Amino acid sequence: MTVTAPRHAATGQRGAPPSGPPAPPSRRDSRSGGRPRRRRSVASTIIGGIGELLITLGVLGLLFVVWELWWTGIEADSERQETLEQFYSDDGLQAAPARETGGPDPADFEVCMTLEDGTEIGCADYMAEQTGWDDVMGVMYAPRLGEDWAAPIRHGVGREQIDRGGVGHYPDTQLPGELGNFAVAGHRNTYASMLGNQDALQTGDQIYVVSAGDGMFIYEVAERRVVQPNETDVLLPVPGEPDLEPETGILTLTTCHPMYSNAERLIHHAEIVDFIPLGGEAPEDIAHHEGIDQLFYTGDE
Amino acid sequence: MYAWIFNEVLPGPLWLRIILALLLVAATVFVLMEFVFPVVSEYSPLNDSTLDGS
Repeated sequence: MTVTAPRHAATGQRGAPPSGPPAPPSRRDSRSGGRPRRRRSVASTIIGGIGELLITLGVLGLLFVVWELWWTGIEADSERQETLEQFYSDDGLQAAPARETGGPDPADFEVCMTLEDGTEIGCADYMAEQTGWDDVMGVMYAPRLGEDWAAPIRHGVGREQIDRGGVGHYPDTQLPGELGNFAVAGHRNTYASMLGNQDALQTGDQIYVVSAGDGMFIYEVAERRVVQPNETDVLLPVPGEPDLEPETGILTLTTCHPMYSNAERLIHHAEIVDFIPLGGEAPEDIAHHEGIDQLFYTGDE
Repeated sequence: MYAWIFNEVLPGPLWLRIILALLLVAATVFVLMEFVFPVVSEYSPLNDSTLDGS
């Protein structure tokens, strides 16, 4: 309050006639007289308090949105990167065969499935064992979703799995290498939004699922659908056909739809097209990812 | 309420009170983000991206 008093004096001065003399007295007046101290009435105190409360609630609401869309992403993404490092650390690679340098050296593998065109698909025994809370079944790569897009796959679609960056495997669905549906879920908007860009996938896009102990399963996007949250038949071995026996392997991605809502679910089905055993040559579009060269031949050396 | 905190509760000269007020705001935001919002988000619809809540 003492700060404001001179300013009042100054305006008084400016308003005064240009002749100098009257100015000093007016300043002295305003200081000596002081501003009348008005006590706020009870009503205005209450109304002011309510106003502050409402503003506070509004700010809290905004903060919550900031937290959900931004802060959760930071935490989840740092955990995702740690998980990837751990996945490709020596511990995770015990099952990987020693690789001769100089060229692709595909390991022998057990054939679990043979496609119509004769392509042999390996088994996912290693993935089947990685069901613990801290285990990573594999890592999914989809070049269409970004050059650096890599999603750890965990067993389960609870918040304790998919809130940590990456995607979660529906436990009741099949594994790569098995006839049927390998279905995963990921966040669209929050917690690093692993599948935030899922709608960018186009028919024919490749999706790679790397298992540290089994090899690489290669899928090609075949179909996009939007369904209601309770339409679980997209998770069936043959989506939408409860009575049919599966004849091939598919990958199903599920996430929220539309953006910033969970009214529906966005579904992409992809079909298995190839398998690369450990030590085989990695596809060019994911060869640059960290760790790939420890499991596959990337042609760099 | 905020005027009362700033004028009556916080000690020291103006610059100290400004710093203390900023610290209070930062601490509040941190507590909210680390402890309060995670609990609140259990009830948020944005996070349920799975089918049939399984």
